[in-house]
Amino acid sequence: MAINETHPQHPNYAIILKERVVEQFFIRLDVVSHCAAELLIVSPVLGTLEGTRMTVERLRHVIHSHKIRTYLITRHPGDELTRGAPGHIPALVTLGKINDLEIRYNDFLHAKVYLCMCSDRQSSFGVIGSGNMTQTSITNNIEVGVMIKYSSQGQSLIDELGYWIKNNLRVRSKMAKPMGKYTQIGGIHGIP
Amino acid sequence: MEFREWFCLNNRESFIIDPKINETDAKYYFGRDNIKQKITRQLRYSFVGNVPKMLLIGQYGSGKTQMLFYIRYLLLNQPPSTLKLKPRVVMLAIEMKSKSNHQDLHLQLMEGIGKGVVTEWVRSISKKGLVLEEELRKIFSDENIVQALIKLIVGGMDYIAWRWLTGQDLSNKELEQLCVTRNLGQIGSGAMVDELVGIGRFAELLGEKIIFLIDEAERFLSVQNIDALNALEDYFRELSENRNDTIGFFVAGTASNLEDTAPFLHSDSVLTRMGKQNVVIIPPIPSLDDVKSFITQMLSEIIDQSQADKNIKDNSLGIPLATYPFDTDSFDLLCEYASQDSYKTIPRSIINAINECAITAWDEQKRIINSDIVNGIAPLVFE
Repeated sequence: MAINETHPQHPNYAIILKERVVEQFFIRLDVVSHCAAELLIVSPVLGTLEGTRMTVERLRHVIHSHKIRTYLITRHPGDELTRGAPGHIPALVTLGKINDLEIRYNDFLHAKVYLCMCSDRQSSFGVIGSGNMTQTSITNNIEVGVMIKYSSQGQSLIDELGYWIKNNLRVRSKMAKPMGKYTQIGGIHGIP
Repeated sequence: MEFREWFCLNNRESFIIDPKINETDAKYYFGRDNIKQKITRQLRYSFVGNVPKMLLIGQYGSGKTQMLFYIRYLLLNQPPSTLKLKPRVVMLAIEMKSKSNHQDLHLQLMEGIGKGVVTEWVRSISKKGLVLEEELRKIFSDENIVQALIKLIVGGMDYIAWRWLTGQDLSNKELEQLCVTRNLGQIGSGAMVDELVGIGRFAELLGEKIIFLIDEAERFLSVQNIDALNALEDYFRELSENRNDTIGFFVAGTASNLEDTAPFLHSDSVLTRMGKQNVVIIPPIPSLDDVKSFITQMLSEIIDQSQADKNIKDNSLGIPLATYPFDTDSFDLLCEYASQDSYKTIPRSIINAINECAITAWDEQKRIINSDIVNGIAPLVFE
């Protein structure tokens, strides 16, 4: 069975990912980036993703060139968990250069959710699983996730996850960098 | 204090109206009273001796899905007096790919009704003491359909029967087991529509009226094969016929005008049968006053008015209740932004802008949304 192909006995909107979980999300994002309208990333820890097929620098380029409105929710750089993650601040600095990107902090965050909402809704998809957006999670750790495609019951799962991130999780998280030109550009709270 | 309490939201956690997430949001259709009136009028007329057959089109975010949910709400909670039976509302977002055809459509419509429901209907006839085969033959002229429906209540055969009824191809052995001579739809979509209309009649015997609410009809544009397009046109033509008085349908799709829908949806053969008065184009919100009316109606419904009034008084906010949590200037400013480009004056954008303004005010722990906040957010949404 080819990668990203639904298992014949599983619902046709869900695929279990056992290898390089977060990378598989970003590979698919790359494929649909021309019609991606919103990107929602919930990951307690971040990394620069060097050595993977979507480095944070490349992600910045994809978001910027396709004007993808992006919401990133992560932990504060001073949090106990992120202090030991060497790529967390560099990733925030790189992503913080994007106008169409909002960053929020929540130090209770443990969830890992990645959603891409497309203008032709059929192409929307998401991944929920154990993997942080770090190279260690992609290359070393044993992680598992489920990729949900926007078809049959997958539609309501993605819609509800998107609603939860945008309207529940965001208002429970502290603003670190607002979307667009509102307030200071490039200034990210918590980074000297 | 939570966001919802901060802005006195009425049993909800955001300003976003989305009946897919909050079931109770289906009752809302703010502003645009002319469209609401047209739909309710057509809904009332359409049940006089027939069923509704309507096409709703509008651009992305114009409120088509909300309208479908609103129609469902009306049918279930305030049904028109002309609807004498209990509505069995089947809502689905259609899925079509380049190789899809009438079989895929039929499968989705039948799955929307559900195997359990159809089986229960068949069983109910048996329980009434009627001779099932005789009753079925009164409705279905095709003996194959009769046999397949009977097998729905025969242990071990039900799944094969359902696969046949939903238009999936069976092996010769399975066809033999089912006592049918061919696959459904093997010679076109007519037999499938006959089956669906017959099932509608069957439902009527048991006091129910089937009404499909089909969303995302723009996906029909994905279909590439000419034979598939012709078969889909036949399917809709047959469903739109006057003689189909058992299966109602509302089809909603994204398109700027009728010509941008899938060719078979605006073909003469379908439109003349459906009736041009049953094509409703949902335009962007037309004027500044309409935007104001849309927003004030929305705020008055989703904000707990007594809590908001108390909040205004207790905190000396000095803003009118009608525009809460906006002050008068920021309210006017938002309406101006929303009306600048008629193409963007759509409910989804307006609602998003309100929600984002509120989240920004919440971030800054401001009790009201002022003009600075609107100036920061509205350009991101409307420009």
